[in-house]
Amino acid sequence: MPRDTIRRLSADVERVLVAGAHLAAADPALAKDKAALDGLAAQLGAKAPVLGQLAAAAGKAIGAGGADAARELVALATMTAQVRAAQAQPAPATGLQPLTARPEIGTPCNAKELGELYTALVESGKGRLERVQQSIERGDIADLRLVEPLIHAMNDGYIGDLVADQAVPRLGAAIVAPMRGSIDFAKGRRIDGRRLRAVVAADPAGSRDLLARALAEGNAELRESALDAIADHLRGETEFEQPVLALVAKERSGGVFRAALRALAGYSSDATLGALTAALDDARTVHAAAEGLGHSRHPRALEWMLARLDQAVQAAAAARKPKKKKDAEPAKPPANSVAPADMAAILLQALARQRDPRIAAAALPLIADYREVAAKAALDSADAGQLAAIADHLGGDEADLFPAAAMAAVRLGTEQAFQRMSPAFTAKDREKKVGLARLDAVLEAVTDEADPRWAGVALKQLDGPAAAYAIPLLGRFKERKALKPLLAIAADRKSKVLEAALGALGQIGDPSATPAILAHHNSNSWPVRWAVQHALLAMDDPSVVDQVRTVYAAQKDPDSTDNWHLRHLLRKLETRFPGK
Amino acid sequence: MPITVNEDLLRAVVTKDKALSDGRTLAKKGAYQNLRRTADDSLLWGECQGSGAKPYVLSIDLAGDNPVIRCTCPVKPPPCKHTLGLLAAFMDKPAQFAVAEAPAELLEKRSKNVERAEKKAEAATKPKEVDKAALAKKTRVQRDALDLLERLVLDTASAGLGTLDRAKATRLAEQARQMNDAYLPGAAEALRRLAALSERREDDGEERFYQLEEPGHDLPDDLRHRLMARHVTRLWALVRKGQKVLDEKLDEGENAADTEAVVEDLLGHVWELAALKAQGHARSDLRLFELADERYRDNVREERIEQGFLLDLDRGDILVDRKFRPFAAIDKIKEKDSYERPVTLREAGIYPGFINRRVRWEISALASRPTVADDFAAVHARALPGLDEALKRYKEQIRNPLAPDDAVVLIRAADLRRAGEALALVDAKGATLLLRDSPLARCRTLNNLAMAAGAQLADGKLRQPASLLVRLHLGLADDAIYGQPLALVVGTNHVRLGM
Repeated sequence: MPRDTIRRLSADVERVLVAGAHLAAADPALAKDKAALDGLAAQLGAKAPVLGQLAAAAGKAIGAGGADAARELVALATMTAQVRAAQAQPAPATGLQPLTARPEIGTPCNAKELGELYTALVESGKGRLERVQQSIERGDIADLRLVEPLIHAMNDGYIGDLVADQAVPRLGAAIVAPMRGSIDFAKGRRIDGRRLRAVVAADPAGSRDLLARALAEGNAELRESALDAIADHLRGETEFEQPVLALVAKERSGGVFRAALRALAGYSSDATLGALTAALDDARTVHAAAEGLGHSRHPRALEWMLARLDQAVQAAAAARKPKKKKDAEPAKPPANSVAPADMAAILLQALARQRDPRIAAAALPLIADYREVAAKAALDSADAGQLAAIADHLGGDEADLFPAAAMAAVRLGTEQAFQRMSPAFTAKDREKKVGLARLDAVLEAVTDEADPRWAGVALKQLDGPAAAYAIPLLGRFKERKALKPLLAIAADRKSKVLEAALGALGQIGDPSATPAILAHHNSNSWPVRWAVQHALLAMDDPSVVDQVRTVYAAQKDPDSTDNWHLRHLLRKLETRFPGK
Repeated sequence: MPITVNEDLLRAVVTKDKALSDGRTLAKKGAYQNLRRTADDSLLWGECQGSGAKPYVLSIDLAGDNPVIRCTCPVKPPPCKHTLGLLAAFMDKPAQFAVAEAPAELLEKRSKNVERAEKKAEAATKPKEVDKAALAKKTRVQRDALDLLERLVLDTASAGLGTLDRAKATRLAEQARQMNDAYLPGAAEALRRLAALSERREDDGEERFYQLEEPGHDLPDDLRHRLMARHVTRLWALVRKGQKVLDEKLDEGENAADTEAVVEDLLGHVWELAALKAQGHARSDLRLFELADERYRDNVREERIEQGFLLDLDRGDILVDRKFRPFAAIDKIKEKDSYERPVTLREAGIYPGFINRRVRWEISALASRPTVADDFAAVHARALPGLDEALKRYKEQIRNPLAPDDAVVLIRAADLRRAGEALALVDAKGATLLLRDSPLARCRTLNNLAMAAGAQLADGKLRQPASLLVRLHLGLADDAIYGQPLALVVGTNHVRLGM
């Protein structure tokens, strides 16, 4: 067949070209090709004149000596390449399958921004963290064409964490397929572990094969990552129980062993319970084992933990008793053992993950000794009466119990939450340390935006000592009635109240507030300057660009370092609203 | 008619966004004074108070094909922040520019410019009055350099490509410099590309992003040698054709034939827009739609290359808007624009070449407009209906040993399918083109296509109408034709796959 003959000739010419043209004369394969071409030329004649031409050129290449050898060989190679090009056919496509449906990812970046982002992601240099951060804020980091650079940048010592934590999740399930391909099981570097965890986070069900492979073939890095991923995203999946138990039995690496204990969470077999309880007494593994026990589905796990808690509480109480002179010195605890009080606290934390009335009954009496840990352990298991008892602590002066008390109040329902938490704003001690801690806890817990009374409470506090805590609620509820008083506060108040007012004005987003916010751009307080920046960015109003530029331009020396915060703000706004 | 001051113009002249931002700040600051314009808006001038005692004097002449920007500040080349601020101020508030008679000095400068431009245009249309002696001298230098190139190619082939080690490659790169000195930058580049493949770079264990490497650096030896053989045959064709063209030139003077123009282009001839127009390579009212844009560092050329692939909405050709920015002067040269909206070029020069001809235009020639649904209808209508036509054109191109190994074409896609690790374009007749990332690609796009197309399925098939912009190339291992996807258009959804 002419095509095969020409292909052979092409390969032989290339081979001789690599070895040296002077070898052409003695090359038997070239001679054979020439003979085959001669034969074909004779057979096809004028139908395929190119065969004759190739045969002649091959003859010259074989026959040439000295300096001519290279000339004739290169000429033959050129001619062969031309003929091969003329004969080129599309590569065969076999086994065609439909494409997999994928979620849509846009291409929001224009070519210039894309180039700059790409450089920031894959090259070194100044200012790239900020560039990536800005793109994350704008949202255009989720660009189809940045998928591969983002996967690469997860390994970057400088921006890797930012990319892994904030940029990659924005691509959602779309990043799974390309990231799967980027995991190197043979090398098993830190980045491969990180990529494995990211793939599992985005597509837990579709990543089972990767996890199984990592557990079976991976090095310590990959095994630990796979176990962490199982614990975080595929807890209690039956197919992993035996491989994880096998690792627990033979694993030597401490990190992998601890990760394996975490991964045993969510199972119900005796073997798993045995492995977890055995690891509980060792200080090196107690936290991982407790986490596993906290999520255990074994019917006796709760009972076992409660009994162990009781034992630890009693031992801790005994240890706290004052020693008499005649008592013998207690025996030195074995290495890596866990102190009873620590054990009790760790178990309470583990119990907080389960829901059973027995937990609340056991934990509530321990609040006096184990404080917030005991209160939080009871929260999910408590009945209304028990929740009320925890929430009552809001009225007390034990600041460490306020967060749990506020959470208990929220669990009692909108009405109860309001009744129990709103007095924090009018409490006598609201200006003292304890009162401020209470307000902090309340502010953290109030999430019920539907209850209009909170705005009312907050509005009444604007002139009072709790104003800095009330104002954020107004921003959170976008309370337009607060606009005027907040503008008044912005005009004459300082420090924390002012910061809060600026933040709330930004969240409310009324353009009329822009000048009042901008008036503080040069405050001596850096937190106030930052509040101005956050507020103006939160306004989401393109007209802010021009107003900021006017202020910037009005500075005596806009380029001086004193004005970098304004310059920085202007750049951010210009990036967000291009062309303004 | 003077150039209109609008966003298109600002985009075309701005080299740094910061300069525009600073310019706008200057306008806000009231740094401009004595702002004036002529009644026809063809000339803007004024003063801007900078850091010095005296204000800078600036002017922008909008009468020609390109704005002439002048400022007495030390920032060179223009535009500086002062002139950009002036343009932005005029665009936003033209009323603050008082109408006045143009200063005589500026008019004089303008008339000199006009005179120069006219002379240039006239010279371009007239048969060139060449300094025959100088041309003959240059041509002889080029001819001698081609002889040197011929010797180098033959020496390399004689010793064998496998013996091309780092030392020999360094010598080749040095000799490439001689080609540059002999006005053959194209030949110099081809030689450097061969030298760049001399040895595989040793793996230092550091994970670099693939786009930072020169394509081909990680090829196994057999494919690397095959690529080197391709370079050798290309160099040889360049030598032979180049010698022929230069010999004819020495005998007969300038020759305007298209094939010679192609060879001269490959040798490194630098075209001027006027010369392109004069030689009949001009088009007017060219309606273009940018389908893809790519930017990369070419370490062999020591330049950043920025190119956009634009569909001629009337003829269906895929033209290339290309810019070279040498690393050494990258901050001084404006980055190429990418056009997210369709553009119309009042007049443009189109280089001689193969399937993807280069297009160039003056700033004033461009006008953009919002994209409408009809544009996408035109994109699908202009796409090649099937693979037959695309492959025919491509094979015609690669038969010429001087032509590039690849060509970018737009093809209607009846469907896209997975074919093992690759993808396949299926046309209306059921013919298939295997799509994959070329080992020589500057940007991998296959995964991007799988993601983009996966979001455009209806009942497991690609929604219609759909067109795919692909770069056709020859596989190194098998000489078969493959496609590298560059952009996917499904209905009115346009996804650029590369960068």
